[in-house]
Amino acid sequence: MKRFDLRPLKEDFYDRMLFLMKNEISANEVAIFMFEIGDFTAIQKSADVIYTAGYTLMNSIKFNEVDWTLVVKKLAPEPKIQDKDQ
Amino acid sequence: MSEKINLVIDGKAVQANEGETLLNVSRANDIFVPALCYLSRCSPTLACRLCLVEVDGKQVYSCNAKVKEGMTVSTSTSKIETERRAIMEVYDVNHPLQCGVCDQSGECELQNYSLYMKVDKQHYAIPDVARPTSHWGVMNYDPGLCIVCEKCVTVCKDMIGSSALSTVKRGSEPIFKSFKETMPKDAYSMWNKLNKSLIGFDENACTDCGECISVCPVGALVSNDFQYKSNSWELTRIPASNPHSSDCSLMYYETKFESIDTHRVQKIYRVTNDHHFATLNGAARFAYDFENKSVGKIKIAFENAIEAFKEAKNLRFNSFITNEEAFILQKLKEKLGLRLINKDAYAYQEFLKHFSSTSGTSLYNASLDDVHKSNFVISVGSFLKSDLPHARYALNNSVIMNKGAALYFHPIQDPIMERIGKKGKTTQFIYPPALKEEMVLYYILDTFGKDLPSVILDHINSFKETRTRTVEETVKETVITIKVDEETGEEKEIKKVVSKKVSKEEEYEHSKILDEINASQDLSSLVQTMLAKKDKFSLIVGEDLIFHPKASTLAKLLGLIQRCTEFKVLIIPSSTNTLGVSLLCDLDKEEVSGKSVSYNEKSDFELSSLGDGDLDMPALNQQEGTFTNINKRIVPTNAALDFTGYNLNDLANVLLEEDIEHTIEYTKKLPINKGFLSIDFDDLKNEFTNDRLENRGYVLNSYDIDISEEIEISSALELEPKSEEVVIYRANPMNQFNEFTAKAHETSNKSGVFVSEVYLKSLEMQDEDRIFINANGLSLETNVYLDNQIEGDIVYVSTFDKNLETKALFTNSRYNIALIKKA
Repeated sequence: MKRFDLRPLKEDFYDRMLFLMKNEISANEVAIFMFEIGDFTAIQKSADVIYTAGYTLMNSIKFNEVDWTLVVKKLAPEPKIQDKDQ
Repeated sequence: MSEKINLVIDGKAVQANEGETLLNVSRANDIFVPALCYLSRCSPTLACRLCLVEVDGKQVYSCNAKVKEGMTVSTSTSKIETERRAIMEVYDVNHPLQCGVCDQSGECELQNYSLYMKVDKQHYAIPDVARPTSHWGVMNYDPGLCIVCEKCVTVCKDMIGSSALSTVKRGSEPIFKSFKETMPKDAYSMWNKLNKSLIGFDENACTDCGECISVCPVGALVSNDFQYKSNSWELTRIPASNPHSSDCSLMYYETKFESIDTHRVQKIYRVTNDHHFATLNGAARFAYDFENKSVGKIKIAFENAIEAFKEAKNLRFNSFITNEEAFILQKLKEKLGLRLINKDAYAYQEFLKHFSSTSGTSLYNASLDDVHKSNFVISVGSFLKSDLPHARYALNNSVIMNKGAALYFHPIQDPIMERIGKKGKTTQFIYPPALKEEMVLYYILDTFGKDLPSVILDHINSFKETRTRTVEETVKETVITIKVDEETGEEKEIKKVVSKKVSKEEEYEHSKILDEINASQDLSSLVQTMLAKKDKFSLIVGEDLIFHPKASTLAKLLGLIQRCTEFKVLIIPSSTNTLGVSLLCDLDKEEVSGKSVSYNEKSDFELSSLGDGDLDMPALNQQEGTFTNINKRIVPTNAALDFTGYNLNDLANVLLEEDIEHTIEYTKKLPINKGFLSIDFDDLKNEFTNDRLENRGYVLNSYDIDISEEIEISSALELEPKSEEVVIYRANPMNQFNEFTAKAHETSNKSGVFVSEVYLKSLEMQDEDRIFINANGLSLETNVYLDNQIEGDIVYVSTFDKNLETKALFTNSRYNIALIKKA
């Protein structure tokens, strides 16, 4: 498990996050990322980016008033369960 | 007293009073029932649903279920535990991971219950949405942390009476439908509401008491000043009593070292309270750092003080002192022949003396607790929200919790008070002219009095006259019409009943007392409606009657009200320990010529807890001792901070030739003939028990007094300002009571003249303009401030600022006439 502070990158943390997942994290290892909440769009976008890149998002949660944290496992994600209504 | 109800909770046989809830009864009997949203003195919110219990096989919410004879209650079943566990999981969904920095961490009910329900997995999820934080007056709101338990909304409405908080809708993602089918029913319903709601704030209605911060189970509502200052577990809790107002509510100073660099210095970081049992006003909660920081024993100053006392003829002081200090001052008077000058306590002492002469009791017979339990309350002559917020809380709480009614009489129009109850139905607000309090008392005697002395009855009847009024009545009339059958030519009578409105003249009895107090004739019929099913009456009386040119007459009329009506009477002591001082000290009306010494007042030699005098004294957060509060209870307070200088006892030891080590050795020596008991300070408790019993100090004894009926009958007074003049009122803005509250860093230090928006416009002035105010032949330059929480054209003048001589604008009344001009 490794922790990465992506807060200095403000809203441009996605490439760095994927780079770290690819190069710094081994298979089945967990990475914890922290980034700034900003205008909140990063919350859904980060989840989508992780899914599209083929990793498992284990948790995505507010860390404090301004920061957010992601827990990501280097493992192919389970297929999304769609709600019956959606 | 009705008979006790017997029931069994978790196999334990318990007894309860009728009307009590299962949750309160369980708690009173040390049976734990989890609940996040319930406040023991407010109405059930039914938000959290954790308090589910099973009664005779059926699930009920214990906060909302009343006890019944023979009930068998289980507080835990496997079904209930499944619900509770699911509820706690839902509360944890998307709850920020900021326990490391959150103010509430360590005393967080979400943390506690999550651990208690063993939440080690999360079965539910929903995409989070942006919920930005807000800064609201004295507090900060973080909706991300909010679990919408609505405790803050409930306490603000049911206890405080401001209704400044409410639940509002928020945008959210929908909950997966699959959860509805799979998760426990109560947990789903709770989530469904929680997911759509947030707390909203109405700043104009807020009175900055901070009780919502106290009741918040999580870190959603926190003190703006305290936020991120300390972890709760680092703080030491010191039980004390509110030093600023006569409720003397139980509170806790929370202290810790000042900083790493100055770790030997202790600092008060905040004040907290047990909100299930006692409420705090804003001054108690936020004005805590008024300690006298002057350090060390300055021997020369002490020696000067001894000399000054020996030379002095007068000793001026106020009532922000302990009983023990008041007792010492009385002993100094006896030994040195000093005149004891304390205008506030002298007026109160005189008022009580005259009150006793007609009531027949040495003390008034109500407490704030009686007001809480009443279902019909009247307040007269007090600017309640500012004078004694606790009296306002009690009045509001009685209206809401007991299906009660209330009347509020005061010359200043008050939109905050008008938020209590349903105006015109359960509450009414009457704004009589200044100094007409006497007529309000006659109104009460007329409406509620029995067996009144004939002189009073005659006077009341002299205001009565028979008047006629036109009333419209609906009468039913039978109208007969003739209808002809077109075919047969037969005539048929058709009878029809129709309603018709007719006017008629009606005689009625009108009391001109109503005109005198600016009340409409409707008040009489409204009060009759309000009185249905009412059996517990309280009358709250404020300082306007005590500082009144006809105070002795008013006191006697009030004594009659206690004796001849069902009302229990509560006379608000104007300062923290006014009642104690008035009992312990033989006070003098006037000074004699010669030198004066003083304690927290100006004079030739000043003992000062404010740090601005000739000899430093400890402030009330630096001493132990007792206060006599409005409930006639002797309550202890403890020192939160050290004081290294001299105290009054050191002076007394020299002057009285005594050898008393600690001031609190006087606690058990307080005079028994004044109603005090001989109990050691260390034996006085300061707590509430689980059954809400107030286990604080002891209650003062009251005595019967011989009744005298001598009441002067004369016409009521009236202030008549000329067109350019204004009626001024001596009152402090909310949460300011004295020089000590003014010293605290969190209170606003605006002192001057406070006016309504309409009146400010009529003066053609702006908020904070410099003005001259002229009254009593005195002209003061100060500021004018807009107060959005009053209406009308009476202005109030603050007196908490020692450096602004505003007290001199008034003589023997809280009201006067003044001229205000732009500086």
